[in-house]
Amino acid sequence: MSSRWQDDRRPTLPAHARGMRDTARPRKIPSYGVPAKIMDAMMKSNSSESSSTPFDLEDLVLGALGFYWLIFGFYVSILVLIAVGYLILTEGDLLNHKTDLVLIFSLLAIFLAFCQWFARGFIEKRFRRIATPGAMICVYSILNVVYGINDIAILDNRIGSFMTLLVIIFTVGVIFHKRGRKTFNLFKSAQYLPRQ
Amino acid sequence: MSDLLRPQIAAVHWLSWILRPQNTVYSLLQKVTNAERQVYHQLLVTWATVAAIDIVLSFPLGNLFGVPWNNAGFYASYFFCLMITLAVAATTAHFMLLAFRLKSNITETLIIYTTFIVYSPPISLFNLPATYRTYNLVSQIKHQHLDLWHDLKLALDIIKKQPYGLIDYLDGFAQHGALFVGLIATSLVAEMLISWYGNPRFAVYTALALSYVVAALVLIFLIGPIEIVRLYSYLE
Repeated sequence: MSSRWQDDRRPTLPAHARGMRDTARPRKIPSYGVPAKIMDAMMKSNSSESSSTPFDLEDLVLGALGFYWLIFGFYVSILVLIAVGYLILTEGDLLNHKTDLVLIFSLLAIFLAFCQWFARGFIEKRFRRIATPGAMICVYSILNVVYGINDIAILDNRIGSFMTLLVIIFTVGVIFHKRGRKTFNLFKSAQYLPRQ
Repeated sequence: MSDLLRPQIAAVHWLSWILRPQNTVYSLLQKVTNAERQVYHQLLVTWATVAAIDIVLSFPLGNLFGVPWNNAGFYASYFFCLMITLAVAATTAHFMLLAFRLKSNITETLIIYTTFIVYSPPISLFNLPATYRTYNLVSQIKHQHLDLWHDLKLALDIIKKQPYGLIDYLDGFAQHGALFVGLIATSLVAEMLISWYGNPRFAVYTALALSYVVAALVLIFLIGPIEIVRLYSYLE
């Protein structure tokens, strides 16, 4: 089955065949059942034998950050579309606002593309080396969204502006600095190397 | 009676799913071909356990607003709303994967998606301040004898004029916790979908994100009115 997602950068072999994850063929899964064996599993979960988990915390955290940006992009887009739809329905004179509409939709498309690009960077680990500053940006965004929704002035305007300035300086610095450009290799394709 | 229907066994099963999500999911996935009916039964019991825990967590708040724990009308409708929410969210995820031309089998995807559902009680716990705020607002709207449908603008004014208190600050912080647990649980589900089916990473994440948006829109129209009427009729 071919799909637009399966471009030629990706290996066509299934995940377990190319050794990305051992989890695809779970060989050593304890076949505990219900109910008595569940108790055994619960007991085992305290032992050192079960402490190794196939999923990396890094995978989960980066995936979560990517997912946050995806959801953020979709929700903002839907909110803008609903607002535009409401304005069109109430105002009625669509022809007089053609330029405004084109401008709004263009900005929305750019914003959505940015969110997708940023999310892809996290999910496919294109900039794993700068995961920490990326996480910082995300935390800052989350804080702004949460406190913006709740309208609570913990982050007042001065602190907010200062943090925005810091984030902008940092991002621009990382992208344009020589060493930063080397590590911030956003424009290179993702590497799908099997985990050793 | 099935062993799973005993509350203590169901609770232990839910705990084991939280503590060892991958092992539980994969052991169930291996059973799919042999005993699909048994798997569905197990899933349903797990979902019911999660919904029951969510309800128990809301008992103190309900009591605070004049709804005793044995108010069957309030909590039974809550239970069914929760079950419908879970079912809609899980099936939307499956259909969204298919829409993206990714591999997905309804039973297997439901099993994997249950991992997100079992993390719902911690999220509900973090959302308690938000629930308190909602109950408080509905209670105030009711106290002022406003009709919910006709005086919607006045009701919104009440919400805007709310003074900020400790609960609002608590809510602000608790939402971070809920967001963190929710995102990690979603990431866990996505990683399992990727490794089990061999689907491409970004496509799975995008499909899941879109499924959340679609499910949220569906639930707003499906469950939203029921929830408003439920709170408005029972809270004091």
